[in-house]
Amino acid sequence: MTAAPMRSFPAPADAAPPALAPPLRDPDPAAWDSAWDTLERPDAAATPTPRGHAPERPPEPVPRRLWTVFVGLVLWCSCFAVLYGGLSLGCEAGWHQRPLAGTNRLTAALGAAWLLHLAAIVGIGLELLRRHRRFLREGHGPGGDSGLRRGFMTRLALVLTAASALATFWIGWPIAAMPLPCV
Amino acid sequence: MTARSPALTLHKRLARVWATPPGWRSLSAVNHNVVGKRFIVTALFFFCVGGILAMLIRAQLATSGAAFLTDATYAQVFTMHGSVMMFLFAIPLIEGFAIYLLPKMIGSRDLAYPRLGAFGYWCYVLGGAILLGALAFGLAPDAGWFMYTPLSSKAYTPGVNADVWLLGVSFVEISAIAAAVEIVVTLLTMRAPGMSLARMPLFGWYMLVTAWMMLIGFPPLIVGSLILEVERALDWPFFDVARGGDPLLWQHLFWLFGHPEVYIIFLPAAGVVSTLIPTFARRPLVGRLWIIAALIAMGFVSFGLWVHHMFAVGIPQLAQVFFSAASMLVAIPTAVQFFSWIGTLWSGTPRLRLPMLYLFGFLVVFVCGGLTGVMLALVPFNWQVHDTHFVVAHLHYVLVGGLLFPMLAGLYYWLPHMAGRNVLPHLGTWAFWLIFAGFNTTFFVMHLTGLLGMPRRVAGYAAGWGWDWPNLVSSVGSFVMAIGLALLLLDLLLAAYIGRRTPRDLWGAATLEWATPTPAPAYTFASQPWIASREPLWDDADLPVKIARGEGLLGDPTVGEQQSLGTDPLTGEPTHVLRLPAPSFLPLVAGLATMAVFVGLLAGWYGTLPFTLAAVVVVFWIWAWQLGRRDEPQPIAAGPFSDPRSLMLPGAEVAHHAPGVVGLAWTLVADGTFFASLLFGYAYLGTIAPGWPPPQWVQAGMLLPALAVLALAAPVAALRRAHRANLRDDSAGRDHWMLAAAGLGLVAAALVFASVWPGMPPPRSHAYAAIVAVCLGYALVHACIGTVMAAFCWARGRAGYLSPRRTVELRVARLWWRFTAATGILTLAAIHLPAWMAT
Repeated sequence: MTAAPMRSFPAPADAAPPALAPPLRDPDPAAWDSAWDTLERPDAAATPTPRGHAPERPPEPVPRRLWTVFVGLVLWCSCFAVLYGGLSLGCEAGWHQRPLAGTNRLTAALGAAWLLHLAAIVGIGLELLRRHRRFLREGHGPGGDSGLRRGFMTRLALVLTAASALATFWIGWPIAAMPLPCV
Repeated sequence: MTARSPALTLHKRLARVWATPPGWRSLSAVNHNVVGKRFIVTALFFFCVGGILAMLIRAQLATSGAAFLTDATYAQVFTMHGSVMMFLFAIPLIEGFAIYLLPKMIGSRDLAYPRLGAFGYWCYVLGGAILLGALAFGLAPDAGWFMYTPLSSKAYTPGVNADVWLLGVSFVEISAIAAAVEIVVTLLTMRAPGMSLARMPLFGWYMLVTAWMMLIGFPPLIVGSLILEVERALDWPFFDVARGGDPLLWQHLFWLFGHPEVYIIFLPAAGVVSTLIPTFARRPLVGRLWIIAALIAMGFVSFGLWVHHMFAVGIPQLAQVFFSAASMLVAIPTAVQFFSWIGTLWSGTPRLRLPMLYLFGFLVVFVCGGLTGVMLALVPFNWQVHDTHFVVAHLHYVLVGGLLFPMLAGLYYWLPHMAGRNVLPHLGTWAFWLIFAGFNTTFFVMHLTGLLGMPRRVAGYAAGWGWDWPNLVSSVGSFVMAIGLALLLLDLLLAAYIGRRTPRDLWGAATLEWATPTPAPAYTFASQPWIASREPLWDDADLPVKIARGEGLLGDPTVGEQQSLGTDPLTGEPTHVLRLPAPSFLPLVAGLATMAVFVGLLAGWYGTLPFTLAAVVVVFWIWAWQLGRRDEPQPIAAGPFSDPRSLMLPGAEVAHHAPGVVGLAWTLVADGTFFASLLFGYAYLGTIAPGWPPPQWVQAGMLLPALAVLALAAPVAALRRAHRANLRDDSAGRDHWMLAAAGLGLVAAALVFASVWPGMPPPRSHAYAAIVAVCLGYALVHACIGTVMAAFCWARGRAGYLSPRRTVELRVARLWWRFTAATGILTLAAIHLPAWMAT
């Protein structure tokens, strides 16, 4: 589609953009960037038949294929909601006035919830790392060994899980620092 | 006569198939090129309106004791300034960019739901017209853009002003949620073949996270607006302390939306930055993985900050520390992006072009806003400057730095794409320096005004407090900024009409939008290219020519309908072909019908509601009826021009990722957040608000609620039977069960109503009864919509739209009823369990 002709300034002699230097490039990533599961690999059973008919089997749902990327942050959200909600409900219920093992019941409950979340995220992170190393060692995946090292979604999951662990630690430490939670 | 070239043949054919009619009939446009530009132009219009309101504010505050505006007018002006800039400029501008650019960047021909995009546009325009009309008649909202209760309650704002805000903004938010669903589905299911998630352009990643945030972030405000409007209209006391309500509930619901909103605005603008910097630095972005990780992390963490707007309301210190910690935390992913941008410029070969000038403005201004943000995250400092002009200065540094400068850079960058012409030399540079100098003069000094103690939202101040000269400087600066913005708009306008024509890919960019002709034709790509890297145009400079020659997919020169590829959400493997709708007046009619509902509510003409709601149902029934087909779809030739039949793909009607099903699933994410927000309000009132427990609980035995639970599950079972019958090609059995599902839906609605309403105290008596009534209403509305859906399925089956392979309507109805049954049963539990335990 061409635009309707309109009056325009005459193009100056140097209107053509100067030739640009070739851009710098990063090393080419492997064709499919993921190291494990079917994360970014075509799922043969879920692609159309050569004659153009829809496959019988539906593909894996997206949340199930991407759970490793989001699980750490979901746990962070859960921890945050439990700490803030638990604090509000605990103060209303008067848990802060009931002593327990040198502290009060509310601080103990919040601390336990915090540590539980932290342990879950660290555990999942370690499991992801273990699987990642196993795949690197065994050379699974379509990109060959060099492709595996650059596995994009894998590394994204690892980075986000590690960040979630640090973030969970960061929001929870004030529980230990403030022994009077309802002031 | 010589044979036409493949490129010309394809162009002629596709231009005819995808054409939008001219003249007044262009109101039927649904193509993303048209709708996206309309969003951008309309947003710029509202930006001018908001800017004029800002000038009025600064004129009033320039000197002490000014009588330029009365207190009442000033209240309307500053409320409308904030509301217009947030709801009618920032979000729609982002939507406009996303609608225009995303299909092109991901190599698609259009969005997943072109009519929904057009409907969103009309909702935006009509909602904006309601707000501006109110301003013209002196009835504009006047309780601040945050509408805090009890100021916005009927007792203190008796006129229609607050209703205009609550209903007008809700109307506009329909547009935002529609756009969010459309963006998510398009990005996940319509990328070019071979474009895996890892290869998706960064702007796509930013918009994907933003759209997810919109689906989660906007429903709390809609819940808040709904219950505040109900309180004002029907005197149901959600926020009235004397009757078990709590004004802080509004603040929670508002800021549950309001703080993520800051990131909803910032992330797309940061996406623009991450797109432009690699182009002008001539190298891929440094640390792409870290950027994506950072923006996903921001998407999550930004939902844990909202209480930092409420540090002064009297919540426990430990809770304040939780939110203070999270507020400091969010600076880290922001900093990751900044270091990545700086690293890219450092290691590349940067060129200083006009868009880069605006990006430097962004880098400077936003860093300042971020630093004052970290200061405000510290509770003691926050208390000191709470509600002062320091906060006003901070939020403008964040929003103007984080949105305006990058989007202006984006406008200059993509203007040659949209108009095929570039700006005149120099004017844009002058405009930048005036905006930059004017902005910093206005708002840097405003930090000092705030530290000197000047409160925000007041129409005047007495002399002698030391506020005179900084206010005068701010006002002078604001007018300098306004002159700069006027120059910029003039520059854009001149460029669009008399600017220099530009070649394709003026900037030497790597992303696919520059592979189209400029301005882009309605069909966008003559064929859809295979993508093998993250910078396709840097890989293959001839790609635009190959696309035009039909060397990509869907290059069939005999095509007679608007087609685009559907691909796997993660791998980008082609899975099906979508048939996209032709221009239609239905979006405009649907927008007008929806507006009639809102105007009826606003004017208090409740008698019109049955008719206007029926009109909405009829319009959307017709809308949905036009989809699908009566015959069995044959595989579609999706190969290149030279051999279209070399790749055969199924049509979307028989695909697993059919747009209707995927779109509903994402809509239910927003709906589920709405439901969760409602339950949060109920739980908040029940645990925190004074005046609880209520004097009277819902009185209902065990029998009716148990029957209601069974009745909610019954349509799910009936639809399951209908689905099985359909797979067996037993059309009689299928119709029978779908009719049964529709009837059972009505029974479920009746039983849910009967199990709550007769035994409920009057909703005006206590916040408990009011919130229970709203929860009941939620369940009933869903059951009624489910009934209409089941009836629609039945009618479609009778008309021949369903078969063992064509099952989209059935899958949609089943998904809806599963959600309705789950939320309905949870609602019944939330209503009856506390009552049973208390009695």
